[in-house]
Amino acid sequence: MNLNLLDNYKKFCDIRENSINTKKIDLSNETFLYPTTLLPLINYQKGNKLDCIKPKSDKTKDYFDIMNNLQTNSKQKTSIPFTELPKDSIEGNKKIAEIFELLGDGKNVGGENAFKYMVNEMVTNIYEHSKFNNAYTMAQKYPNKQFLEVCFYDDGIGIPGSFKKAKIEFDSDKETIMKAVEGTSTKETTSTESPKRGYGLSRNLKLIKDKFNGEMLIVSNSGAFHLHEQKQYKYDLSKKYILAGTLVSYRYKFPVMDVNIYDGSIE
Amino acid sequence: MMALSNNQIRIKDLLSEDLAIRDTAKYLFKQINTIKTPKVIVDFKGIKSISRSFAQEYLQNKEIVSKSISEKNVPETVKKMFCAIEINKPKHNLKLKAISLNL
Repeated sequence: MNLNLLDNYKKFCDIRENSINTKKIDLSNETFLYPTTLLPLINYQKGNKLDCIKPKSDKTKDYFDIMNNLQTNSKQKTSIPFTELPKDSIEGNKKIAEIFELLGDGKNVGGENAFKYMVNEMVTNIYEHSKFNNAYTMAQKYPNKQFLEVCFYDDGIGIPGSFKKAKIEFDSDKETIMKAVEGTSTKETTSTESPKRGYGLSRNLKLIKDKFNGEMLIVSNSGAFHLHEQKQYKYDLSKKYILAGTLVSYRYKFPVMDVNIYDGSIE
Repeated sequence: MMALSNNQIRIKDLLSEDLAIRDTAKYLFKQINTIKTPKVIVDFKGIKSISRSFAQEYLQNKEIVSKSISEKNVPETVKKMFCAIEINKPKHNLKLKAISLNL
């Protein structure tokens, strides 16, 4: 059974919570790890300098090591391991080109235009609005399960922080995420600093939902948004599930040949 | 290959074959401003993708820069992105119905 993106994020939160007492990341019983668990987990492990009890399963242990850059993958490239996005935008641009190359420029996963468009929007959001100190990406193509999962995380001010900076108040963090995914622009306000984050997220959500029939998860501070099986859910997160910064993951089935993004979808 | 020569700037050599981050478009125009001639040609040869943000920043800077900018070897995907931006329709907001839950 494939755990959905929210379940995978919850798995990260479970492991993180257990580590508070044990001071260790315990993956001993894990048999399958997806980017949406692994990306925030590796960031958490590195940030807190925690030891890790690796999975008992050799296959899962090898996968963890590959995604954690402790081992190189000698087989066909189907993944982007834990990859830091450089703070310098020129270097960041070069890193994005490397990422595209690793995933075959989007071949079979929506085509070059659609695949790159979505990654570009995500990365652009991080550089323009998050004020990050650290930002990472990870992705995995599953040839047997036939889906792609792409995940981004930044430790910046988060979507609620971005709205707060623009002096736009909301009752809860989940409402700011909703406004961002609906494409709310604060240009109409007197604020000189608009979050604008909604533009990229809303266009990507539209593509994921309408063109790929896919899934999307956004977690930022104490709010979350989940597009799953064409339904949208918004969450107030309790302490266990809060995330400093922003995590965005999306997943869709492939093969998907060239998706036309120039039919009004991105206007 | 030099990124800058005479009145030409080869964008792939200056930045990357994939143009993503808005700030790098600003950097491109900083470089353009170092060129002494009043006319500058931006060569898009080898560019594989362009983000909406990069394209938007490029077009905005092109309008305000004090030089005459023209392009050559513009790939179809870049042309389409420029068109998508220049249409400049009012931004539509999605109206989402979301089920509210606690976690």
